[in-house]
Amino acid sequence: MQRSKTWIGAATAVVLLGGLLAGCSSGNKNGNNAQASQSAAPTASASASASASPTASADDKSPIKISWFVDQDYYKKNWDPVNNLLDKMITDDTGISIDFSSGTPEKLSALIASGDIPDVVTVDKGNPQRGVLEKSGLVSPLDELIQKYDPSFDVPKSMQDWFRNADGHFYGYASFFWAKEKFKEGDSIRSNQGLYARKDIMDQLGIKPEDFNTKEGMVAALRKVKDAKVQYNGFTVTPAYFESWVIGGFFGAPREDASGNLVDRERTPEMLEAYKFLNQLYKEGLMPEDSQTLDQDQLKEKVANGSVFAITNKNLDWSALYQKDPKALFVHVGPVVGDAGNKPYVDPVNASGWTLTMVNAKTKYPDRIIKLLDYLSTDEMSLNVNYGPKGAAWDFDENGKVKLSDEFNALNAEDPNKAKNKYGNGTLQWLINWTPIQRTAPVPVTADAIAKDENALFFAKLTYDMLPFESITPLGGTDEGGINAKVEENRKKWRAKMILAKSEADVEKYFNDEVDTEAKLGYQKLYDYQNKQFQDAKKALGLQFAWPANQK
Amino acid sequence: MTVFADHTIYHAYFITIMRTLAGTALHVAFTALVAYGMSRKALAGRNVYMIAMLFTMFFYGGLIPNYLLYKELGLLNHFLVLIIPTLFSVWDMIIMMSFFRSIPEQIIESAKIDGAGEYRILLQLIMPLTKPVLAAIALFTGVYHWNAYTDALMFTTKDALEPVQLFLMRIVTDSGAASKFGAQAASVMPEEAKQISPETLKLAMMLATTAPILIIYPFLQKYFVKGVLIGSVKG
Repeated sequence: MQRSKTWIGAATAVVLLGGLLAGCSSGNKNGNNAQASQSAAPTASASASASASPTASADDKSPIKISWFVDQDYYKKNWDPVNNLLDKMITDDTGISIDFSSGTPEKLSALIASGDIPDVVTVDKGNPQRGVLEKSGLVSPLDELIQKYDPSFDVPKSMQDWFRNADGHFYGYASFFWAKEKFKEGDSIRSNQGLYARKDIMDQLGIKPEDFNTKEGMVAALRKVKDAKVQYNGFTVTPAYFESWVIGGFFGAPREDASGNLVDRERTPEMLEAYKFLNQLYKEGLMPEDSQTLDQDQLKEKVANGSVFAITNKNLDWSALYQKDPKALFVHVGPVVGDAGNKPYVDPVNASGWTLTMVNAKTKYPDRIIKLLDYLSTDEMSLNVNYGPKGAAWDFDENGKVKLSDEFNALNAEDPNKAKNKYGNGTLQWLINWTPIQRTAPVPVTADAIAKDENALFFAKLTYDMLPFESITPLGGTDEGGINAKVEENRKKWRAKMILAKSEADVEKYFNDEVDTEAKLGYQKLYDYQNKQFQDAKKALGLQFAWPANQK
Repeated sequence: MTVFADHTIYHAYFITIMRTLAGTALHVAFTALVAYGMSRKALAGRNVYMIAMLFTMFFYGGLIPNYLLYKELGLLNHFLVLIIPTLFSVWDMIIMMSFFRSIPEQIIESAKIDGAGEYRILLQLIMPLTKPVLAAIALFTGVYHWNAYTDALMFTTKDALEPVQLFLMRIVTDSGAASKFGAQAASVMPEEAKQISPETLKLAMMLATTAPILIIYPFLQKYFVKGVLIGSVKG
């Protein structure tokens, strides 16, 4: 009797606690609902009268709350106009408070299916949900909203054209889009690819950057590093971690043939040469086997520990290494040219942006939201969302470059999270334009920042206009998207096979076998689609040839 | 310390603990109730129920229908959406049902002869005898609730309802994402470099979430070791 009493008692207690919590959360929800409906009522009437005369509502700053969904599930932002200076600035200037929610693309699908999407939706431009939203009529065409409520909103024409649908409208404002017509003197698109080597080890062993200009010279330099068994930080330094597509680009693998058709880089003779070269490096012990299995984070750890001599990936950040050892710098070397003597190229960063931000067709505040997008898309706001509000977190110095304020630097050095919560730096990047940020970046003063800047500028000169080629990526959820995913997965395996092959003859054999396996995966259908996209993009941009070697 | 720096993590722990306790207790109670009923031969239409339940076990409705269902029920953004969908599991019910069937009918008949009602038989006779299987199911459910984050991710947007797994996942993917997209930023803001590497953060997060389970498990272990059918009918 006693035992069952304790069981029942415990079970009841837990159920009651659960109900209590249910009461708590639902109480909050009801409270929020009441508040939202109260504030919605007066502002709805205000905006209703205001939208009748668009020019009169230019200064409508009545406080409203909008909901904004971002399909990047790591994103979290609590709107805090009291403590967060960026949020305070936005709310003071526009009257809008934003309630951010985030989730996976599947959650966005669920929201779409329920027919109840938030006021603003940010979606990755390659996701199938983008197509679904645009075709379903759930989001308003931005050009119509601009015409109706905010004709002064200047969206770069290249962005409008790039995202324009067959119905003639464009539906989203892109983040991280590089609009060439807006470039000022000295702006350029940079690259994440390059060839970098450790200066301190080079000085130690007497290697010069020019050694990396030829294949033989590079192999000799790497051999020196291996034979010397350089020790750093308790590790034996690995000579190289190279990516095959970067080396292929250095060898000048073309992406377009003489008649203007798309060429798949992976099947060119230059890429075969790159695989043979990397295979040679592997056989001599200059590039380890784990180069094919380590992921970016693990490679970054190795680079930050100082145990790598030469890399091709600019994203492997080595700032931590420099903090520990001011002599350890990665400087640009080479690039290495191939036997054919082609001009080397690197891929620039994606010019066509990352996410698209769209506006709900049924939102109560289309005029306020389009004005908010206008406000957030200015060059100065890009700087503000990246660094924090002007005046508090940064200001321009005499040369027009950004100078972070002392308070920001002090708080950031103490605890970057606290600085983020106070200044909001890097928390609202969904309409950001990186061009003004790059243009006004603080002049590098530390040796590693100077080196990085030099490295970036050096390889920026080797970029080509990749915009027509960006059109060939198939949208997720389509047949071609599925084939593309399978082909990419397949290529990873064959890449590893070729680089780790036992002989040069094997590399060639694998190279040809790969073509056969891809044909079985439906490669021809994918290629036809990509070539058509490529030709359409060239036509839209008014180009006959997109590959620099073809352009006379 | 970065993992614990944000005070929201304590609230996230609270949500996870509450959902684990409430969800596990309710799950075991509801499933045991059904399993007991299904184990008695006297239940009319037992086969029909069985077939219906098996059908749901093999076919899953999908994320979007579930989302629409919870929306209509008003469960979205409510604490109960973390508990109500998990209240009953056919698989666990089948396990319990087999276990209940192994208890000899004579015990129940003897209790009925003594004038016991159905609830008294269940609570005072059957439950104590089946502690091992209840503990086992409770452990599985407990671990499920402790690790669950997809339901919170899909069906809630409020910070106040974030379990600790979701909260920590955001920290880890944020730092990973920051290192990918912030590569451009890193050249402009060297402070980013001083932040802890993603690998370290991942491992710290793993420790923060598994440590409580590791602490609790030894206390539950003895329930598996206890024998079955203590003091039951001999011979």
